[in-house]
Amino acid sequence: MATRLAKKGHFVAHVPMGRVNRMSDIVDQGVLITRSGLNPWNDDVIRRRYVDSKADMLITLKEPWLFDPNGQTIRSAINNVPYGIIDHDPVSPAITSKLHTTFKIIAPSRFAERQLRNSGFQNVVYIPHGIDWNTYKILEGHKAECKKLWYMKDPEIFTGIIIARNQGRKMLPRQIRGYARFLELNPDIRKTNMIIWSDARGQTQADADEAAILGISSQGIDIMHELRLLGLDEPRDRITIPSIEVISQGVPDWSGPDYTNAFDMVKLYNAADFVMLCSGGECVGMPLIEGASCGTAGITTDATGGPEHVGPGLTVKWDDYINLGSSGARYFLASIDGMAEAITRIYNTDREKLGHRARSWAKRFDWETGVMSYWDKFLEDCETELRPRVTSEGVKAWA
Amino acid sequence: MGLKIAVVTPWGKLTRCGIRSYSEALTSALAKQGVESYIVRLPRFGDKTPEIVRNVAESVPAGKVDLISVQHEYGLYMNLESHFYTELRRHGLPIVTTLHAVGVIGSTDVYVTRNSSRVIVHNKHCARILRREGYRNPFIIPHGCDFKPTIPREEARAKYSIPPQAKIVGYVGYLSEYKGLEILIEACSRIRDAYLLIGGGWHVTGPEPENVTHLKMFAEQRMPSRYEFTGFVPDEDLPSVYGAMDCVGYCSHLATESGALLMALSHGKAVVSSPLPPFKEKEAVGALVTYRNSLDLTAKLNRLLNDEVERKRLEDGAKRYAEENSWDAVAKRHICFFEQVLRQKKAR
Repeated sequence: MATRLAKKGHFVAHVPMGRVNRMSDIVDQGVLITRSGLNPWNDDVIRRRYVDSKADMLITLKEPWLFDPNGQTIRSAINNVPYGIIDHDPVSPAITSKLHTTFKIIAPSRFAERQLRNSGFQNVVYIPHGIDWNTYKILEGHKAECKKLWYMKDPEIFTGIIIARNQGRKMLPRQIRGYARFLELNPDIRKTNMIIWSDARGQTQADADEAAILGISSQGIDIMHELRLLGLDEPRDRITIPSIEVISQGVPDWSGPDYTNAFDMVKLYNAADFVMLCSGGECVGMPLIEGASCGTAGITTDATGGPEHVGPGLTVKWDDYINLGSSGARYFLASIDGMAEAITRIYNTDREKLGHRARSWAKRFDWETGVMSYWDKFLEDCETELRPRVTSEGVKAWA
Repeated sequence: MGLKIAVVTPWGKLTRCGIRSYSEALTSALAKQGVESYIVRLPRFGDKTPEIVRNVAESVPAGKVDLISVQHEYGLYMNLESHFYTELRRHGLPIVTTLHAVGVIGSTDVYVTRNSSRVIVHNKHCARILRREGYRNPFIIPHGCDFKPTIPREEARAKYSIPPQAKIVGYVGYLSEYKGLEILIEACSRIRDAYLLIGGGWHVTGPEPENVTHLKMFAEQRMPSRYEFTGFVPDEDLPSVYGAMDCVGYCSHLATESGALLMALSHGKAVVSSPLPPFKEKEAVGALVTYRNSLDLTAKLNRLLNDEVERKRLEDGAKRYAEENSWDAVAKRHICFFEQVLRQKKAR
């Protein structure tokens, strides 16, 4: 987003969160990348950066609840435009309490937009998250090579993928149980594999303590232990879990048409037959869109933002929920039988045809042809509101 | 070519702020007279720093305008006027500041008047305060009004499920502590068959402030089942909310001018207000009546509820005041004054 806005002639300064840039300011692809603050969310430097950049707006891409109510981001007289990231339903006061003096709120899903409007916020603007549709694509004729690259010996193997941080909201144990139920109900389907693209150890309690401060909340699980309990540790080719190092370092989006050594996300999605994201709640669910763009249909919980991002994929009804504290906000528990049934339906359908439908559908999230038009309109409206010229012909921007 | 001015003010359709409403109405009226207004948006909420207000001043499009109009109220600048005006003066353009409140922080008044080419205030009372503080030349331009007929009483009351025969005292405005609503509640509670309709919210979305909770508790204690808080009233609903009222009580403890009171006059309502000097000025021209104390307020509201002739007299007075001080008239006075300031600048 930042580089694309810079290319359109906007001045964009990026203040990296998480203390990432402790060196000097640098310019990359037209974006000024400034020094980070000592506070992980830049609450100690953001006002200075805003003023020095002579910014018109501060856009914060992070869950609003983590900002200190007395910190610079919330307290300063600046045009704060936070992303309204809402992964649960109804929206928690821990989020809404941080939004009352915002200039605008960007809702990256219609679900988030509805939640905020129902909470009385009128300054909400829907701008979808984007993907690079031309990069995330179907690698026609290379599915078998992709599976082989990702360590599946048999190109016929029916493969699912869960891409999720190992934390409570993602409901990994429940998703694994859904897969286990699928295996139980379909003993004749022997060639299956589920790639769990996540940290096998899970977020520890110590991490969770810090994360709670950061607003991510809840600890993850030891996936290996869970698999043993479910009897999924044997045979070993039914579940694939990458090494912790791979997860922590990540892989690039695309590293070229080399199907023997070049690991990347596009080939990972192409190796899979479905993307599973039956979590407790999602504002957007990027793996669903990226997967669809690669022709790999998704399965998601029929709650929060998942359904609007699964396209021609499948939704699974939830049969229970858990409350998050006293605010009444809920995470949803997808039906285990429903997940198994959805995987079976994907298995039995014409996956190639479904994949092409998914890819066509995903084009609406393409940065260039879809999402940037939302940004153009948004910035044009903001300009008229921030620098209006009032004449007998009406109100237009003067800048 | 018409006049081109920069206006430094809070702005934005969702910014709940009296100065924002004033600036929007004024610039629209100025536009009808051919004036182009370049709005320089001053953030309304949050902590300001010297750098933030300097950035605002610096962003004035000096090359495009003839004059800078600053809409000033203490809270908007948080004692950072020195940083703001120092930067603003660098543009070398005449600065006309409209002081929406005076006399609260004398040193700020003095600083602003010394660093502005000229200063506008809304009434004689404010001009007197500035003169007392040593500024000799304040220019009075009243706060504008926009006369809007209300919708018929029966229709308005049906909208809010209010019986047509009920006697309704009303108020519309921000529910701030200094608005004296507890006095209005107390006064209305003594009129046995009167109902109180309070419209208005607070400046930001979010939970109800403590003072509003207390007001509701007080109303429940003093006049149970005879009051209603409508919450924030959007502009388009004002004709129906005012239409439902018989008269308006305005009990502010502190005011140098009041957009909320003028809004009631603009809707042609009979108003009983606190005896503050700016309101006394309006009483002198027959636009409203003021009260001496709580019992007097009760008596005057009671009379307006029961005496149609007196109510009509005040409604006519309110309408007359609103028409005489219409935004169009106020805009014309601004233009004359701005031109005068520019002539003086050239003469120097």
